[in-house]
Amino acid sequence: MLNQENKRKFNCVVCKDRFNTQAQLRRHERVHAPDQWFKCLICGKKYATASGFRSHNIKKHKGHKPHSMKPRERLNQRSLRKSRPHRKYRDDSAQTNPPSHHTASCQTQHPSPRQEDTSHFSQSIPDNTDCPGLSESKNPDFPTSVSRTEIVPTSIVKHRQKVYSRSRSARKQDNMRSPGSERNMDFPSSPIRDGSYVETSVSTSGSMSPLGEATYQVMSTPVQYVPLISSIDHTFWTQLNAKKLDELKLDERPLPLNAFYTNDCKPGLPAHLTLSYDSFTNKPVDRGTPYTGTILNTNTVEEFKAKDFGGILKSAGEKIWSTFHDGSALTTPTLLNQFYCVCFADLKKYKYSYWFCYPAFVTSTANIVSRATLGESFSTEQKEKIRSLGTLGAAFLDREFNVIDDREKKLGQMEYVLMNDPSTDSEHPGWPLRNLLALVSFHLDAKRTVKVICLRENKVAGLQSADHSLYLQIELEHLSKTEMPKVVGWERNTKGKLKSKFVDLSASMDPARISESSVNLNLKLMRWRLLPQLDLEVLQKLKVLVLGSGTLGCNVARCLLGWGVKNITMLDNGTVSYSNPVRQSLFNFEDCGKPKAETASARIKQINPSAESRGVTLSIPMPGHPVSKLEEEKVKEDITQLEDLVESADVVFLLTDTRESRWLPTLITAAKHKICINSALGFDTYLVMRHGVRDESEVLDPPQIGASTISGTQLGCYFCNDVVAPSDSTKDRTLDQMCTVTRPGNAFVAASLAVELMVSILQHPQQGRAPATLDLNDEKQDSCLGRVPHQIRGFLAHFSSVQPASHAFNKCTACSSQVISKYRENKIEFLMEVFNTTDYLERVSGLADMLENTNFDEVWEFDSDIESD
Amino acid sequence: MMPPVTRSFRERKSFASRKREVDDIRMKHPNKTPVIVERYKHEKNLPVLDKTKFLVPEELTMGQLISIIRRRLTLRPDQAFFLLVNQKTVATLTLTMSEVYQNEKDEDGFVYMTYASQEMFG
Repeated sequence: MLNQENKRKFNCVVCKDRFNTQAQLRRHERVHAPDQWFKCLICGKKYATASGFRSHNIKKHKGHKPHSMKPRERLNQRSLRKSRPHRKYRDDSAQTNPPSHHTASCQTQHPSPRQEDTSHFSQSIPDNTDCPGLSESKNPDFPTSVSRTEIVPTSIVKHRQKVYSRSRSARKQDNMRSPGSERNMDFPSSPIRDGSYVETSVSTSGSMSPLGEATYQVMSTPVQYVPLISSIDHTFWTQLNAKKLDELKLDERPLPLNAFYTNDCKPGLPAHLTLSYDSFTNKPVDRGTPYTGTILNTNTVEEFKAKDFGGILKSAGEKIWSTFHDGSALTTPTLLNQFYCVCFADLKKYKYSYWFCYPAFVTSTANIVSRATLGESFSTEQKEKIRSLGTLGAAFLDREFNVIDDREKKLGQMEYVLMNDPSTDSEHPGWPLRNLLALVSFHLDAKRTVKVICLRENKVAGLQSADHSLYLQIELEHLSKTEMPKVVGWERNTKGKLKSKFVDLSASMDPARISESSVNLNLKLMRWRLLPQLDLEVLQKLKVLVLGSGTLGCNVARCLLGWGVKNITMLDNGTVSYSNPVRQSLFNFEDCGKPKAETASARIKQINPSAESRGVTLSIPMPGHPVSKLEEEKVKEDITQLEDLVESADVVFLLTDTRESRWLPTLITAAKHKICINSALGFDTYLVMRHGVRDESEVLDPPQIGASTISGTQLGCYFCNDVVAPSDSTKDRTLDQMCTVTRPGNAFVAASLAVELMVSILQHPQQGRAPATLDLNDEKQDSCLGRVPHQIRGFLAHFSSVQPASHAFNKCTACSSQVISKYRENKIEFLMEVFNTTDYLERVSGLADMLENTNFDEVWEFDSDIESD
Repeated sequence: MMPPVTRSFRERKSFASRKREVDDIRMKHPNKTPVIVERYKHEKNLPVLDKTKFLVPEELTMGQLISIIRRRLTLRPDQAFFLLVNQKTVATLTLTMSEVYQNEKDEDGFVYMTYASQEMFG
């Protein structure tokens, strides 16, 4: 707390305002110095404070930031000040930074060419940074003071002055600001957002070195390299998602990656490394110059943060160092192009944190002694020859531009080092040169000057040209062979800090596609740990026919959607009534009066746009409901349509609301040996069962006594439990006996069990023929999801269920062989007979005979014990 | 009027007396199976059977037994029902009584069957 005397003792000399602290005063003083204000280069607004400028950026120019270099520089200045706290008052003119030191890269995201001066770099694990391995961040990227001699042709000086004069007056006094800083190239944090780099530049012309205007620059200046920026196509992330979900799962094994860079970027674009969907393929990318790497995708964001980044960089460096030793780098210099990516992919939210490193060695001094362009240094034939070698990526050439491939002769005859240069900077070569020069130094015995061609391509007047390529003469010293030099190379993020980058793709994704992959996400996650053997493909390809779109039908459809089943055909003969929406989960109040099947299928598509659903309004013909002559044609059509629907489905759900309407589908599915899941409700009881699946060759055997399992081919159907043929159950019934009067939760329980039973069946190797076991402890017949029961009979009155399994009945009215063969022989005639004649089915199935042969007096009753009790 | 709450056979008789009863009856009729048929406690649609204890010939099939029970209950053909044997299995209708007895008889020697109406709503 400040006491009264201390209050407001700092006075502003201009306006006499008083402040509590010197910091406040200093911030205030900027108000009186309009030339120091932060100017927005997009709209020209000026702000006295950095915070005001920043919030303007965020509010008005989202996606463009940082677009003005001014605040960036201020920040840089600040960081300088921090690093030298005792030099509070610096004479601006004392800063001897050569103007060219911050080049364009200062404004492009971060690639300020890094000084070769190694004193700033240390690879030891820093103590106080939140990301380990980043001691680079302690050091400003540019040296504060470099002594060097530079002999610059007058034309360049003039040019610089020219550019300089165009800069704002404020900068005239500030040596920190270079002519290059006028180029404000701004790249969105990642090119992904709109698929391409955007140059929101207020770029001044003449920003690039005026080609042809200058001749040789003779000097001795340390080589600085324009770092690479990762440019990741969103197809890369999609591919990573798929890979993680389907193949890697919990596996954290690093994966090989292939990336590339090009040397024909438009001037002003940063040097970038491109990754896309084909980065995961094993064969190298056929575009540009290859960069091989490794991606390490962590399972949690915490693991990502806790990675030993310093160690990663070092081990990646060791990999390159080994190519120095075994000589492979000499034969294939592109082996030096390596990167490493650590990444955390949030598959649910489509957010990715990632960090690339391009390991490069910090070698002893490498000084540029002369700089020119290719165009002014070589003849046309020579240039053609050089350009044709560009496909190599990097090479060592002799005097005649022949590639040296014999290792021994390498250094003696080497005249030129050729490299495809990703940099577009007029003075500085790109990052890949760093390791290339280190390799040359490694093989040198003494100081030597090498000629380096940084090959860059572009199109001038419709013709490919490499004239603007850099031609450098670089003086190298030899490098110790025993000790690996320090390694640098972590990429800076969009704020220019040595931290990971982040991209959020959720906004750029098509919602329908997100929904599709999200449905699959939860399912695929099952396979990571819980059920690696789960076969989701069978569910995705599954075609389901749902007969009856009522309480059970709606809930079954919803549950199917949950399992990722897409092809669902809904069938019903009714319309949505006012009593339906509260129990039938696919309908709303607005749907009342519309046909149930079509409405349900439309709703399914609303829930999951990638679902292929169809609604069919059809009345299933039923035994005991005679067909009149007039209706005959219609009924025949319905039968054919139902047969076609069953034929095209893999699984049929039988969820109609009478016993007799279940007969024909049972018969058709039995005849076509499809998987049929039958579910029916009582008031507080439910039945979920699968019908046995057997084709013509699989005969019904007599049941084995004492067997603990029943083969799926021998299982019974819905009609195997009783000895009466289905007949009209709506005749002479009161309303409460005709409608689905059940406990409301009953349908939800039964429907979900029905779908789960189906999934268990499909996951079983024998599918519909999966045996049902009677022994509750027997797990031999289980699918990966567990038991595959024949029936589930639930009793809500005591919240219990039993799982009986029963053998098919050889006189069943729906699935017995005599009924099926009659149906196969003459479909329509047989069915018409069934519908119209009451006892016909019982005669065909043999039930009538059985009843005839039953002596009803054989069963004796005991004396009732109620009285005796 | 509320129907009288009937206790099940098991609740009414002790294990010992049930066992004695089975032993007696098996002695007298070795080729008949003692069966208890009761209505499912929460059944609302089907009538109660007037008798619970039956002696069933061994060679009778479950299908025939069901038709006899249906006849005794005087069910209409559209009233489907199922028999739950031993509270956990649904007997295959082709099995004979002796086979069912072998597999499903209780410790006291009876075979317990419960009938309930077949679910059919959707």
